[in-house]
Amino acid sequence: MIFDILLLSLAVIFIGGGLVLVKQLFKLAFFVQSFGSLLLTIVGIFVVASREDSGAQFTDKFHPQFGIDPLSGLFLIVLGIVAIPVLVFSGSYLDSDSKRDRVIACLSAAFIIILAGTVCARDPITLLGGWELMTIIPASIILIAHGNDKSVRRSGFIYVAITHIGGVGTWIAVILLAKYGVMGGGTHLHEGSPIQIAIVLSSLIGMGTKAGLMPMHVWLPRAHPAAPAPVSALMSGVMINIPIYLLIRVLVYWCRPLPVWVGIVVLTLGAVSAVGGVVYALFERQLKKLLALSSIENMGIITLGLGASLALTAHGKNDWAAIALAAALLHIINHSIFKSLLFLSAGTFEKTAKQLHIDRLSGLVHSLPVVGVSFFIGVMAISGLPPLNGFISEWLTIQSLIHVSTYGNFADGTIGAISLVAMAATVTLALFCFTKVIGLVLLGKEQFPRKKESSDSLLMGISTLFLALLCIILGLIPALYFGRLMQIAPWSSNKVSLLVLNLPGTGSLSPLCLGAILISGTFVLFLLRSNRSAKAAPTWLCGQKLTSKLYWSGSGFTKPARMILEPIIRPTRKITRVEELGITQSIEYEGEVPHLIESKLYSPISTWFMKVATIIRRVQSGSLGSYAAYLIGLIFVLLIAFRLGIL
Amino acid sequence: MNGFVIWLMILLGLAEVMVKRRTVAVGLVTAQALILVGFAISEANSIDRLIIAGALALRAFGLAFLYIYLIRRTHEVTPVIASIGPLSRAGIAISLSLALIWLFGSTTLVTPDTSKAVLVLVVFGVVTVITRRATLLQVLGIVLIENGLALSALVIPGGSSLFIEIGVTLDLILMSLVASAFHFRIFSEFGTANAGALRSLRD
Amino acid sequence: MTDVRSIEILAAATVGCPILCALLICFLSEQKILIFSKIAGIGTGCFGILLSSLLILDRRLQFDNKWIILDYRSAITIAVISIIGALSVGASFQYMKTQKDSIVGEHRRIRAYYIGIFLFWAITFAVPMAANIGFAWLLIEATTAMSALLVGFSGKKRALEAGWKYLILTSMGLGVALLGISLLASKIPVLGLNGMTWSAMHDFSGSHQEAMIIYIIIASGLATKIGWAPVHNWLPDAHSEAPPPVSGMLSAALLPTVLIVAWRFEIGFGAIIGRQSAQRIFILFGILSIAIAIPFLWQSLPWKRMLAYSSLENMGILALGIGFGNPIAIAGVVIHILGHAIAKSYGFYTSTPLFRHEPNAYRHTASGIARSSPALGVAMGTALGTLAAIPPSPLFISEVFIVFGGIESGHAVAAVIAVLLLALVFLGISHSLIELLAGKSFAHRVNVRFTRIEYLSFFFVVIALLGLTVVAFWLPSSHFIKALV
Repeated sequence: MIFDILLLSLAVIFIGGGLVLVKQLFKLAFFVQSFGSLLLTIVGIFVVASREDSGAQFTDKFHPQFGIDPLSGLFLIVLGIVAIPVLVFSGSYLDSDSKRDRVIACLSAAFIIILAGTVCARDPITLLGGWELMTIIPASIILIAHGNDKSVRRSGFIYVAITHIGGVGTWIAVILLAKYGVMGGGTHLHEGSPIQIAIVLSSLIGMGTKAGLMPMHVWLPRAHPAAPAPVSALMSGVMINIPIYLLIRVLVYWCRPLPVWVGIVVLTLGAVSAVGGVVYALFERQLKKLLALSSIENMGIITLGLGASLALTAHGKNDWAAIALAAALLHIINHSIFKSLLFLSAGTFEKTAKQLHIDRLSGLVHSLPVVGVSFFIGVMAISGLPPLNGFISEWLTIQSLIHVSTYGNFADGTIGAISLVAMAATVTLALFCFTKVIGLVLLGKEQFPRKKESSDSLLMGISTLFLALLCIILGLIPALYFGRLMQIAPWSSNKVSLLVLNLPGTGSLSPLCLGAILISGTFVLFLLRSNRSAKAAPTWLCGQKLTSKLYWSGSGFTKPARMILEPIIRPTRKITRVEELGITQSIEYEGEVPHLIESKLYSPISTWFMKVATIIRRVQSGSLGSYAAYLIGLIFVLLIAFRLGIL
Repeated sequence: MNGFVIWLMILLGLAEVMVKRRTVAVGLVTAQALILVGFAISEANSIDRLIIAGALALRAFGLAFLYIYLIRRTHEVTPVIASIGPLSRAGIAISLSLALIWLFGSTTLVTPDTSKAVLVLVVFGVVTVITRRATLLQVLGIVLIENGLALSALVIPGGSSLFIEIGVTLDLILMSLVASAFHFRIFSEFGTANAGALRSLRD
Repeated sequence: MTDVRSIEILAAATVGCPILCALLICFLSEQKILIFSKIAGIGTGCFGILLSSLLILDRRLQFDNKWIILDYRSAITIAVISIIGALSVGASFQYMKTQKDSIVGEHRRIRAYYIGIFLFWAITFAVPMAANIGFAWLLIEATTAMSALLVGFSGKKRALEAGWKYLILTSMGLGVALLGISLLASKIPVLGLNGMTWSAMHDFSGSHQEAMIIYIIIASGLATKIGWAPVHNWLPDAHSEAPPPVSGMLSAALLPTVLIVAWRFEIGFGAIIGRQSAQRIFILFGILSIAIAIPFLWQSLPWKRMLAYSSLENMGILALGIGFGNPIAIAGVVIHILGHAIAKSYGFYTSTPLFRHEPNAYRHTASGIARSSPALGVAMGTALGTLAAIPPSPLFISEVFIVFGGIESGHAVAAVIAVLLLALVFLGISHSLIELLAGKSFAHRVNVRFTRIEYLSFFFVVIALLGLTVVAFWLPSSHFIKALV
């Protein structure tokens, strides 16, 4: 029954995706699709709440099968809840007159269906098929949208290339799972058996690449910003969660019990991604790219939660393992909400300002009040400020990490402690980073005149506001559903009580009280504020009229951090003084924080590969004589190999 | 089959590898084919065998005429010179065939001698294709391979199939006709029937 | 018994029909040839399809005597040859109308071309039906001679070069294969060449070592004709310089046909030297062919040349599948043969409108086609996307099957290497795909509008490919595959 509703909702999205191609029905089609997404969300909520499976079970056979269980249901919720505002937003963001935009809209409907299909796939071949399409469809959207730009084509290629190379891991993992009957639930692998290790390592590579974990992340900051805003929101908000979903399936469901070192590896991956992502986000100047880098950070936080869960299970701490897993799942939900909110807002900013360089944006909260305020709430949430949702999941993750370092042995305890530090650093740096964003983008002098309210901007505002409200609500009442998330873990654990997040051995947190205190405190401070304003005075009196050149710049704001981190991140800068007749006319400053993994790891490898390819291509020399010689050479080599007993 | 015939076949093959003029090369492969005809007749025990001999003779003369006609119609202003000198060619051919015989070990046709002769002729043919540039000489390399194989077909126990033998003959004639069509066109397009000029297709 | 007789007659008709058509074409006028060839192509195709579907549906009809063998392997190959042959003859119409160059005189151009293509088709049909090994060899050699003429048909310098290399290299390779066959015949003492059928290989009287050497010789020789690395060098030249319909037939029909013959050898020798050893050679060729194709696919290539290198890669995948040799891998092979045939030949056919659209595409990479001519871009993109194994392409499923088969049959290392190599191949093809669709476009191009028949063929191809994908799920557990293993 519930499975039928799932099919119905996908059918509705499918129909909506078809209607979108008709110019006259463009707007309507999006509402049809968002209705389908709403159904999808309801299905997900129902499955998670009732904890009932529906549809087919997992199988090792190569026959397309679909079904839902609570874990899939959770990801359906994430998909649906992001898709609703994204679709409403697309209706006004995309242009119904442009054929290209209509095709993009159609493809994004396909993207949503594929994402749902991958989450509900119950057999190896559909899983792999969905996995491939999940990469290909956004890539084609990027190319359709901006394919005439050579650099975008290059980004698209790098995206497809790296995820595909990494995808080899997924292929191997899924095929091994099917081969050994693990997927269908028939067999359990022994702890530490070679097959188990092969599956775990290949899925970490394959799914880690697609999730954008460092050091396999290089495609992500290129691909996500290149897509149109709604698609970026789907990519960052939903798509990169799917590999985490599979990782949870593999590590938590199918390959149990795992040796402790798997937990350590996952924790390390998470810590590196979290810190690395936020550091590069801090120094990034293009807003969408910054958001993409922050996605890497958040994937890192989620992975930390997952790793904590794995390490804790290995020590038999099932309660805390369930909490850690639920923290990761909660952060997935939260991240998808605020990240899609931020990407959608960035889309509106781009429409207004025609660019996204954060040093050249300012005062957007004045130009776009509704979107601006939503963006502000989203930024607070992503920075982990209470009483918003990001705070809850990050707090829970930190709690889990503390317990890893408490319960662990020397190795995983140490890694747990290091991860804890990394997590703390991440949260701090994220706050730093997003303060910069708020200061530069939202505040400051109004640069872009406020346009007349149209129905389009109204819809855009509503969709961002919807997500912002979700950030607040989920931040206030996490205890209501956190217990359900804990039950998703395949082992039983004690529930935490309602309204107050009551964690065993730690004490409790009441987000509602915290929220009430904070909000009233802020209100009081607001009342107590004095009414100071700076007056413009002549320059010789140390006063000056504010011009945009006197504002903070992104690089100026982050300079202290850059100086501290200099030995690691190796920033480069170039100052050129343009002189004429001994007088300095102007000074040009170019500073950059190079992405070291890209320049020190990926570029040399690809250069080397291209060199080898050039050498091998000499085989095709064009000379008939040499081709004939290959034949005799082949016979000789095979015969010699046979004589030596190799064949 | 006596050793003299085998050695004669091999020597003719070696001469084919070393020879400079196309006309002489045609003569050499034709001579080989005629030896095969003689061998087929001398050991004839059925009417099939005679028909096979007839087919071989037909192909020997037919191809000889075809090739001579080609040589006369496509007169090279400057002879097409092989990339490697005749002695080196012979050296390569002999060492390769010795190596192959060694690798084959005891794998033989009926008698070890014939088997080795067949291998040697096949290697000589391949070496001709590898080292010669004149298009006609490359075709002759393939004819050399086929001569060796015809030799092997004649000594296979259980009788060779008339059908197959005639088929092989027809195939060789068909292939030669196609090759001559190409030879003509290459000569008229490139001004020389030199396979060394065919190097525009490469990566 | 009467059934068997009638299937024999049908088989003879399948081969005879194109020969008859070629004869008729000798006497028809130019204009009539163009019309007649279309009908004749469809007719011949129907004969072939009928034969293969009868063979697949009713197993009792299959038989095997001294000269003719009709089994599942023949049936698949005949199906491929009929479909691709009919499509190629159909596609020739457009080619003949737009391209005027030829190796023969202007007034004989159309006649010579159609006689050539029908004869080539007839011989290709006969190859998988040949039960006598020597006869099979003979037919393969004959396909070389016929198709070399067609490769050089345009008479341009590059086409002549390609045709020449193709002729010499494959004749030489087949010479080597014949050496192996005569060695084999000498070890089946009672029968001689006359009785040397595929089933007679059981009577091999030599040692294990001799069998292995003979097998190596035959495999290396046939590898030249199949286009397995490292003796594939003629393939990219011939397939890229031939007229597009001929390229389609060479790549999609002829290569798998010879592959089937090699497969029969693998099975025959497998019984003598052990299945594992026989399969190992195939796996080796498979890995090598995919690997060699990678660096070439990584560079910008003209459309047809890229398709040719992709054929090399796909022959490698098929070799791997046959080498793995368990039901699921074999199911993958069957799907792959069919899917590759349809997608590859369609890719080659699109080059006729492509050259109309962009004359430079003959020598340069096709880029930005979807920008300047959306219909053509979509058609080419579909072909290339299918070949890149992007789901729901049947090739995606077949590749998964083959890799799975590899792991299941205990060749885990080979399977893992194959997945890696396939990913590297994908890099090259995806780059070409991106440039093809979205790359730089030029102002001088005119938007090529598809005719109704071109749209129809596009939908036919899409439906055929999707149908194949659906069939693919059912295949591994079918009797059909069990009989092939």
